[in-house]
Amino acid sequence: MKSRVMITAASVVVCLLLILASIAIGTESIDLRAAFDQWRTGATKGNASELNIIVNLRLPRTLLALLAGGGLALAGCAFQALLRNPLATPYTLGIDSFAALGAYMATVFGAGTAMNLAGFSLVQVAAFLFAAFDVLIIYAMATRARRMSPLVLLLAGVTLGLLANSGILFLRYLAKPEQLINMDRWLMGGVDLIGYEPVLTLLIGVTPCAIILLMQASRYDQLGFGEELAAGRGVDVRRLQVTTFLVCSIMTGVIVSKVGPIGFVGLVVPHAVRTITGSRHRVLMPMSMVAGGAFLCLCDIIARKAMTGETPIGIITSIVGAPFFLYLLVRRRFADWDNA
Amino acid sequence: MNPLIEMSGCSFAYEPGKTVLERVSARLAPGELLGIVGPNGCGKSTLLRLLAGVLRPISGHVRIADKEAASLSQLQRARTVGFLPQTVNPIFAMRVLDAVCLGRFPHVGAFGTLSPHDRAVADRCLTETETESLRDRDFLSLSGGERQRVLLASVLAQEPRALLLDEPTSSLDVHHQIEIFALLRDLRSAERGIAVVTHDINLAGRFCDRIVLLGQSARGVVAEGSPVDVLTEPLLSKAYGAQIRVCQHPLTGTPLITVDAPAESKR
Ligand SMILES: Nc1ncnc2c1ncn2[C@@H]1O[C@H](COP(=O)(O)OP(=O)(O)O)[C@@H](O)[C@H]1O
Ligand SMILES: [Mg+2]
Repeated sequence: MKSRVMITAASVVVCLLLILASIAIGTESIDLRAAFDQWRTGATKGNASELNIIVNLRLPRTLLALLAGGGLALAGCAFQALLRNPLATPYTLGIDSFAALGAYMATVFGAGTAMNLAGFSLVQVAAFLFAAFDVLIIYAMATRARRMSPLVLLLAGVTLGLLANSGILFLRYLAKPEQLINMDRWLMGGVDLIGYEPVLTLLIGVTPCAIILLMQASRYDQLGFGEELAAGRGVDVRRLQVTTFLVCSIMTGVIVSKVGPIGFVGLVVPHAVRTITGSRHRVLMPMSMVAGGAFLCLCDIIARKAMTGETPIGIITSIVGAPFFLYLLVRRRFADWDNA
Repeated sequence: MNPLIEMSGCSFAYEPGKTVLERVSARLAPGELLGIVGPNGCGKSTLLRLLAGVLRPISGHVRIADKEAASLSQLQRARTVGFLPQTVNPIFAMRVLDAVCLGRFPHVGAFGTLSPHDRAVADRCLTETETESLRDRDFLSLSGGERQRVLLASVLAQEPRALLLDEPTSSLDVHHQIEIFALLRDLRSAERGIAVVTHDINLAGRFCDRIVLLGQSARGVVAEGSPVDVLTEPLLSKAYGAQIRVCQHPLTGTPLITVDAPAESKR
């Protein structure tokens, strides 16, 4: 028990260091102390280059990675607990694929429409709506069926995801070459957005959702022993399902529409954190948020440093996340999920 | 003494037109160990879910501690009624003590913060079920019999006055089955009543104070009363739709049930 607290504390420190590093490291490495001195002495714009880079470029980017990574990891935690399945994440439920389909549709059919809805472009609005549509179909299936098992819902999500991917291929076939470049860039995800506007959007979208999900922590614990036992203990299972689907789809929809489909965060991070904190959601969920944010910061550092120019972050999350997940599979074997 | 749970004229169907229980009345009183028996698929689990308040009847009333069940919040209900379903399959590795503490859910706030009192209750429930020695083990590493005891402890941790258990012995060997029933008999007290669904009529006859016998085609209760009154050849044969024989247990004197094998088919 003591050692678990220590390891948890150590992981938090590592995460904080990663977040700091993502501010310092970039195409140009920055002396954090110089920036701090500039801030303290109140240096003028002209001779405060370090501070300028940090405030205008690095900080928003780091905050964006924190919010996106934290939100996706939290949604992964919630879906895994609700559907009692280790593979349940926004990505495997098809949310990302549908968002991408929406973005492609907007690019191909809405080309030239300069729309701006509360800071969202047409592409982003379409991505959000399609993500919500995906969750709506899955949820409608869950409520219509007399008794739909979580596994069936997950398979439905996977199928919808595959369907969306075919739709994307078809749109690519229709698209003009110059549209293809934009589309592909969006599909790879990225937190390389400039300024504080996207940060603010994510903050408004993610914060209330995260608070609502964190408040369900002890109910997710109860679901670990089965829906019926949880119901017997006084958990309103149906309400928990509605809340989780609704809140997770809004949160992921907002995130994906801004930073693109970023896989693996929702899958790898909760499982990795679970090996450290155990499965009590009161600890697991906030820790997953921190670790998810730090993981995306790490991937963003690699994205900036791996090659000359920038590698899209979606590629990095997969390249880092997949081997790590395989390692977890081999080491832990997920024997505890066998009953799911 | 007022009953802990009283169910009157309840009907239930999972699908329209397929009535599982029709105008069934039943009650659970404090201090008794009630056995609910009957053939497979006759609605024993359904009856228990209705008594527990996790299912709502289509018509009829369920009263829990003298209050209409429908008027109670889920948490209020869970503070009076403890329900252990037939299948419980945990997905997370979890320490036994933590699993038992999960039973405190209806008593603790939204954040699940356990007070020293909650921990003391969990400890007491481990003692009551003789599972203190398993305290720090992983729940998933336990044997079937140990799991049932720990689950029992976790439901006891709700401090329910009515304890409803669905086939708690179905996956256990004979020895552990008897141990669980003996434990249940000890756990009933002046305030606490226990209802247990079982398909083992012999065990029910030996340990229970009262029996509710459900029938296959009856869509409800065939007979209800003390074991010797209910576990008779005509009533059991009616409930099971088979020729059932009842003799006396040579050691305990309680009813002992066997079924005639179907006449040998001529091949
Ligand atoms: N969740 C459910 N959905 C639909 N039908 C059910 C459900 N649970 C039980 N049934 C049906 O209700 C009837 C009674 O089942 P049950 O109460 O589980 O019987 P028992 O516990 O006596 O074996 C059976 O015909 C069964 O198929
Ligand atoms: Mg049953």
